[in-house]
Amino acid sequence: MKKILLVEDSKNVIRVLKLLLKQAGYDLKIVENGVDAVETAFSWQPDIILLDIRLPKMNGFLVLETLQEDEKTTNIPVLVLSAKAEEEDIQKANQLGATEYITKPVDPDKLLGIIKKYL
Amino acid sequence: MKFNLRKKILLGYLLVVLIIIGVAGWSVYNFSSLNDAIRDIMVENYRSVIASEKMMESLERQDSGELMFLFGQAEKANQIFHENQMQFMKYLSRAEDNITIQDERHIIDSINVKYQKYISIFSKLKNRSQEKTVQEQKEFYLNSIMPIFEEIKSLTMRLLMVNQNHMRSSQQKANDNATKAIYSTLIFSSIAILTAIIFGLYIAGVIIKPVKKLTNSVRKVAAGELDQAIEVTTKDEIGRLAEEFNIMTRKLKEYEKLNVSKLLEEKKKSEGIVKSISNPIIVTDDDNKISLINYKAAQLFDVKEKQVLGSHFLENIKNDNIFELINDTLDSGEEHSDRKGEVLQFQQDQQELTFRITTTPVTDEDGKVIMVITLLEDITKLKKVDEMKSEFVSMVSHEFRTPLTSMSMGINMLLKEKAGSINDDQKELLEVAEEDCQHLSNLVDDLLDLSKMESGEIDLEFENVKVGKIFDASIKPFEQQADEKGIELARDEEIDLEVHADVNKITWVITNLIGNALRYTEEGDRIELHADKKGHKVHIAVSDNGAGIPKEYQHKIFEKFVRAGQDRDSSTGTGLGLAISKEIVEAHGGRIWVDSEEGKGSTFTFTVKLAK
Repeated sequence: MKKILLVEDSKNVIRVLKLLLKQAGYDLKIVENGVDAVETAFSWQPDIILLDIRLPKMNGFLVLETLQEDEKTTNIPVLVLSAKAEEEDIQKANQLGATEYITKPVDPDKLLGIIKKYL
Repeated sequence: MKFNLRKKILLGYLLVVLIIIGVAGWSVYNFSSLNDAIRDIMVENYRSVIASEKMMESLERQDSGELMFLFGQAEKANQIFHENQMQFMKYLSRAEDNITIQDERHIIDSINVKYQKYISIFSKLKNRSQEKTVQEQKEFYLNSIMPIFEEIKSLTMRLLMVNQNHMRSSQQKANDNATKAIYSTLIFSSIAILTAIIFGLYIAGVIIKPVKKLTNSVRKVAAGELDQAIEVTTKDEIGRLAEEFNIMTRKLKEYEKLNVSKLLEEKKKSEGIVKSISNPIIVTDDDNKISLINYKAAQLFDVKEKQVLGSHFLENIKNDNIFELINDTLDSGEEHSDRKGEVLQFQQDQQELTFRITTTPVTDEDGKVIMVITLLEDITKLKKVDEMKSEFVSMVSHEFRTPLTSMSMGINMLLKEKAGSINDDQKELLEVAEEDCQHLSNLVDDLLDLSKMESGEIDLEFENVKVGKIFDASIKPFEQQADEKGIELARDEEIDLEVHADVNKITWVITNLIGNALRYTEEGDRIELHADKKGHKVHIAVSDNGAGIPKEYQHKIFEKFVRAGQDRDSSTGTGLGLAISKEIVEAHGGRIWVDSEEGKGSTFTFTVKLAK
């Protein structure tokens, strides 16, 4: 069973994605802030990370940077799932090592398709 | 006495003419006296001289006749004597007729007396020839006839001499007269010539001097010295001309004064206007020298108004950006006044100020740029408000997107029956919800785009690109949709025109226009794309023969959330597409407009710069 780490602070988005991803048959862990995200990524070693940018305690960009710098996590694909759609944000995320940048809202089937691509 | 120029000239000529007449008269007088002298010589004396000579000759002959008589040839002697007596009498009477000299009368009288005696003695000689001997006759001749003969001869001689002398003196007199005439004519002529010259010079002086004065003054007036007044010294035509000239100069001066004061007034007015404007303004001439600067501008650039006037822009205001814009405007004659404008950042009193620079050319009658007005608009506050607005819109859109994500994903999953099966009514309701979620999502996207465009946050990536390529990219997304709807999507073929633009943004505009057109057309309608070169611009048009736009909407169709007629209920458009299009076109330095007639269709046209 493939492991997905979902980093998201919106309760309702979590509820929908939880349903979608569990149904798709993934092992899912959910964290709601950046610090927990980094810690869980190190300890749990997920196969893929779904990362929001606007997060409490530590924002998505910092999380990306931290994961990228550590060899334990540098190879884990990170799909950024953000409500921020500005060009500069996309560029910044890509520079920091994001695998894909997906803007909210997203089509559930499209999201599943992208996840499948990196597993 | 008032002499005008005409009278002066005429008078002068009259004087010269009088002198010439005098000289001519004098010459005539001299010639006639010369003539008299010659006539004296010729007529009076010469004839007397001839007569005397002839008298001498005939007297000699008479004497010969008498001698012949003594020698017994009485007949022949009588004949000779008689002939010569006649001759003598003839010339004597001629001499008598021609008495001109004082002594002549007396001499001729004596000759007359003596000759009578001579003739009577000869008669006596003839009468006694019978009774006297030859010897006695000879003695008589020697004693009585000979002395009278000698006397007459000497008298005649005297007559000759008197006349000859008189002739000589007359000749002398004629010579003298001729010489006198030459000299006097020379003198009079010289006087006449001299007078004519002096008079000529005087007249020339009288005419030329004031004319020269006048010319000098006119020249000075022409050069702008209107204080010129000519001293009017004469009362003639030139004097009058000078007077008129003075009047003219005076009037000109008054006129100039009037104009100058008007100009000054205008100048003060414009200076006043410039000074009262709260934005910094700098006016530069065609040499980039500062001709006007207001207080605000002087304060901003930390210069003194009086010091910078007339000096070069860069000397005082060390700002290459502004100078470049001024130079551009000076060269191109085009105004730099894009809505976004060139922005200038200033650090002042630890506060960052932002100015929008607008350079406007001022042209003369020939269209040459003679001045550039540079206006700096303080948009610091505006920029702050804009930033706040952008931040706000960005935040709102983000806040909208998160709930939208769960909503749309949830609805989508329900529709795909990932949470259990649904019936048709439930499906219909969920589809409506999904459509509006999509609409809301589009709206958020567009709002964010527009906000960025409006604040000028989006950098345009200009490049030279073929219109054909833009058309291809714009049409592609709609090919299937148009086909399904049964609408013909046509474009100008072979468009080689190249434009200078941000391809993505311009494609977005055309795409938006095609999308709009598709919404207002029905099966069988046609949508066309055109491109035309007009000067330095390319006009790109998207036209359709669909519903058209009611007149009352046409002028506000580019405003936010304005939708024409039946589109109001449509859930696909956001009402921001044309507003964004307008922003994009204007950011390219172009403009966009619509020509439409209800029921016949619409044509949306925008301009974009031709590739350099």
